[in-house]
Amino acid sequence: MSQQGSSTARPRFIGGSGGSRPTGEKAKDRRGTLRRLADYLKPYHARLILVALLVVAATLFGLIGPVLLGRAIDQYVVFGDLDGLLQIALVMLGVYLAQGLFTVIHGVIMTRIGQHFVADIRMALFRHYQALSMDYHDRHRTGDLMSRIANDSETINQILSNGLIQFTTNILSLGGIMVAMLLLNLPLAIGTLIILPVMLWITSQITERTRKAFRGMQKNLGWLNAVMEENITGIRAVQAYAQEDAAIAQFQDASQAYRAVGIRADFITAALGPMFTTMMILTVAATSLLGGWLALRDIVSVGVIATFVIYIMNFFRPMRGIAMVYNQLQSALAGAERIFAALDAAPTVTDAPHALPLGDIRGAVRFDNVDFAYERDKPVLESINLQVEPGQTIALVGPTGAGKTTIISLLSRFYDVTAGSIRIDDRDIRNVTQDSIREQLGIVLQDTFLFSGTVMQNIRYGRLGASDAEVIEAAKLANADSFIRLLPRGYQTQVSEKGHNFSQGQRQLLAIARAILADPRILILDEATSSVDTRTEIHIQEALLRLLEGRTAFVIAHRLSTIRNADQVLVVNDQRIIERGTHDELLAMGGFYHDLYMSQYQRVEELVALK
Amino acid sequence: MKSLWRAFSFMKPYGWYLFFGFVTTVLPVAMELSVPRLLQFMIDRGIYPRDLDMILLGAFWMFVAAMIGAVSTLGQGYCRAIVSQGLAFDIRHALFRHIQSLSFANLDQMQTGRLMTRVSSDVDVVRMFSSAGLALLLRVLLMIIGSMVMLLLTDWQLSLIMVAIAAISGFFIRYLMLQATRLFTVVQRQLGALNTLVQENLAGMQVVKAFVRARFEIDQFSESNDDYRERNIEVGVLMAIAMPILQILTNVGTVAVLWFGGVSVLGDRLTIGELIAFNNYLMIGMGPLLFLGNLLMMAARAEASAERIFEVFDTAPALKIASQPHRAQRIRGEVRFENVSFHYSRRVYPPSEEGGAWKGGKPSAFTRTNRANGVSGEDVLHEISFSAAPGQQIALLGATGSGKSSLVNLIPRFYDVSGGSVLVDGLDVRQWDAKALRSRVGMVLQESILFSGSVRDNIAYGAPDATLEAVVAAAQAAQAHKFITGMPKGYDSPIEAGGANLSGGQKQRIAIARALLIRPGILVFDDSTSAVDMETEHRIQTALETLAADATTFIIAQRITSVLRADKILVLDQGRIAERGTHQELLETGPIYREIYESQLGEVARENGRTRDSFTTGDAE
Repeated sequence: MSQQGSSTARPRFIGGSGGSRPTGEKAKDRRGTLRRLADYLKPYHARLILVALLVVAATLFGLIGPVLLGRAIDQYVVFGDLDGLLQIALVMLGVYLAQGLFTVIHGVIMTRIGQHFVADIRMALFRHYQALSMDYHDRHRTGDLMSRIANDSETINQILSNGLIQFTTNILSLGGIMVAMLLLNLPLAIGTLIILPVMLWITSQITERTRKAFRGMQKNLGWLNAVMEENITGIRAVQAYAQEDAAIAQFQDASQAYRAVGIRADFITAALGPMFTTMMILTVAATSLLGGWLALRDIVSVGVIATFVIYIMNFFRPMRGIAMVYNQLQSALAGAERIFAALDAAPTVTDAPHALPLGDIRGAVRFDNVDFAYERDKPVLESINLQVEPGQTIALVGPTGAGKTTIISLLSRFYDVTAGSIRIDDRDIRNVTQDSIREQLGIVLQDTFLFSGTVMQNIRYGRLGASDAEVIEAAKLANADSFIRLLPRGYQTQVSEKGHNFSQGQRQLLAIARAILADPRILILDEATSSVDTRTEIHIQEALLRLLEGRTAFVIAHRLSTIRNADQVLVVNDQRIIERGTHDELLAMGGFYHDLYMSQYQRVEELVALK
Repeated sequence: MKSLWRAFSFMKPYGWYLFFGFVTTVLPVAMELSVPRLLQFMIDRGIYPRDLDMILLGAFWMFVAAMIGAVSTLGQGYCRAIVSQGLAFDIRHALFRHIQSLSFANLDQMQTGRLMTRVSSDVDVVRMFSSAGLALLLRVLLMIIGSMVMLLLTDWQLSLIMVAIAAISGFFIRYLMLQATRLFTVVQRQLGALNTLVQENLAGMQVVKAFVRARFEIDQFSESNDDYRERNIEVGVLMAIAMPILQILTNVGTVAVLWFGGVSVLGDRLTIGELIAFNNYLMIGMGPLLFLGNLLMMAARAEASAERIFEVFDTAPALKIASQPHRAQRIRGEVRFENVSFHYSRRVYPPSEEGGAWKGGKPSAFTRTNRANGVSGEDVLHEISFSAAPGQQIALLGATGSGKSSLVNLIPRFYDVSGGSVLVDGLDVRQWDAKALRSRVGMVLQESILFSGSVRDNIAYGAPDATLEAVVAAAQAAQAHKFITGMPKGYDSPIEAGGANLSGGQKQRIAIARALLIRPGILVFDDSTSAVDMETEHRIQTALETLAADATTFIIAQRITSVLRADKILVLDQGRIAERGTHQELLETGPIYREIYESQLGEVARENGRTRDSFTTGDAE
């Protein structure tokens, strides 16, 4: 249904309607999950009790109707009492209207409760996602986290605003019908109700089989989706190697298997579901046979038989309803379990109990013997020591995967060090609040993330209180103003999904503007590896120089000019800082850095000589 | 419901199943409808005249009716399953086949995520409607019509009550549908907004954290969330009110029947059995009305899905096939561009209204653009002319967006030129059989696409029959052999989805081995050594000189060292060939080339003197 959200992560977005489809999944700890859900419903207790009363009343009134009908036939129609008939008809009308009114009221209340409840859950999830540390976000796919907010909460809503009432109504109706039957005529009631165990058995059979069948379908669907995902996302490779036929054959196999289990599942649901109708006819036949026989002996009146028949017709709908609600409940519980799992995840980076804000800083940074590992026994950084004076620029160089990005992530306290300490202005960053550190940091990544919204809003993300004039001023300093003005709607131009309507260079200029607006003391910069066109490149370099002025800066550097201008160059390789100094010092040292650049140079000469 | 009808045309091969499905749907309904009649018979002929035989007779027929109903229900289930699953299978298959035949130009305009939704969920929505929805709709209609007929047969005067109620309900449902559609559209749009918000927040989590914007994000979400909740409550309340009203209508009917029927019985116009039967028919006939609302919703959803499916079907492959396509076992590898210009067809974004689906939708983006009525994007390539002799190495250099990838993509005809022509072995690529051409062009794409399966399967992707020796040879040339043999199961090691268990450089080397294995006449590296270190890249290039010496090679690279030894270097600037020549020539005559060279290597070269000196002195000591 929703087109925009779906990505390769395959979240299934359910909106508005639908979602009662059994998926065959089951919660692991049903009771615990149920109890926690009930806890969340506490604020609604008073209203829930009101709903329960209304449901009982509505169901009872619904049950009285057929009794009145039977009585009307036996006592007034047969004896020709028109006044009595009018009276009872009016009573019936009143009863039905009251039933309708009660249903409306509890329906409205429950809808509100359900919607508020899921909105609260969505809010709690979103809030929690903001609190969770980067390592959690690294490990979980966006689609997965999204589907908890979008789908899992929706399945809970389904059961709450609809299922719960249906379930109660159905149980009450069943109970009420049985009681009414027993009161009306004991022998006939016993005769009719004998069929009940049979029906229960059939219901459980259907539920179980349906679930099994759907589980099988789900599994095959997974296969089908995997094949499809590969061959559609990889379609350029498929076509480049002219392997379309192989892809189609592979898809056909998976599709065929999915069809085979699908036919089974469909057959079970399609054929067994309507079996209730057959059971109903059989029960009506048995009841009227027994009723007729009893009527001949004057034990039962015709009106009672009519009432019974209506009851029987009404008996089977709740049975089916209960089976459906049961399936719904299963998937709702599974969804709730996933939601709770997310809510239970604890942030790994937290503020210390008495953490103070960092306050204004000069911008000195020190790493003392820092070790870091995402996973135990897999060190990413080992004994990192570095000291930076306020206003200095540090260039980090080294092969990909050496740990440069991790160093700056630690400084932002996206992760906590495994050992050692990081200090800003001599204060351990674990003793101050996370927010106050990040407020002093500005980050410009090589692939800039833009949010949908206008260009103006995207720059303003750096400082929310900034006026339009300040935003434009920042854009000017970032050399972004000139290209923004050429856009069709200037600063009000909409940024499309992930900013694809801007070139990489333009996105970086916007990020620089954002950072200028934020005016941080410490700057973190991830230089772009790929070349952008020459003019934009000059613009970026110019803007960066302006941005670096008077700030402490860490630059993951790819450009020689940046490295040469740095106060310190740190060469990171195999989880360690192996060399440090200025560019010239490092070259003179004749170590790894020297080799890195010499090999490049030698290759050039070699190749040029070759020609 | 146009698209849904089109989707149903896929049912044609299942004509007989469809027919039996219809019959087996009608039968149970007929049986169910016979029950009140039989009951009436039992009351009027059996109970009142005190005739047990008649009661037994009535019960017997009910039993028979139940059995016939049961058997046909089984049959119906079977037919439904076959037809709907068959329908889905056929649509899926046709859709997938169609997608595979689409050109790169088509694919650029459709997001792959969306395409997948079409094949899986949209087809499933149509399937479910074609099974449960259609059967239920048929049943509901038969029930309503059947009970109407039975009511008329029982007593036409009383049936007027039923007709009146049905009419009122009908109008009410219509009104309801209109309201609900309107509200659902809003809900859907609000959901879309909420989803986008969450998705961007999660994808940009680092930025959110870096700028300490959690509070801001929570406020935004909270607002959107509340809005979504209120819209949902509107829909919920509408439904909560509407359903009981329909129920009340039915019940009012019952009371009316009791009153007017009772009066008629007293006037001896009606028997008591008939009155009861009448009342029962009323219940049977009106009950399904409650379903009708839901059913129409289902139909609207299915229609929206069907529409999206046909949007794909109606996208004609942008490449036209030549009348007598040229096939060749081998190609020599001569490539010539003559005055080529090229632009991507621009995507026209319609006002994005997700809710359009509920209204029966509008044709969306790609159906329209593909018939590109001269709608054109900006030219990506202008007047490109050059030629490459078999075995030559051509390097392409230039900033991002200068048109390098677009240029090489024209060689295996992933796109058609907008002007001029591309010739391979002297023949316009539009005259070639696309598959024959592509299976001789080894493309190493910018992003290395790996498939699940073993390492060997992946290398042999373009030549599934290749021997292990050939695979190993290709891997060795691509400098992949070493790390592959280091994997737990060597060449049989499985590759996880998307190649998650390999590094970027390893993926690129497997992609290179794959291209080498097909012994291509033309080899294209589209920035495909970016994640490989220079030393390895150098070894790959050396290996190419022996293994793919005959192949004409095109290299796009960021590093200038990757292109130094090319026979011809083309420097692209904003879609034009700005400079061309060898390294030496360009150093002297090409300002852009020199600028790139300087920025990457110039300083190393310049500093050379000094470092060299210190080296020699060092050695001398």
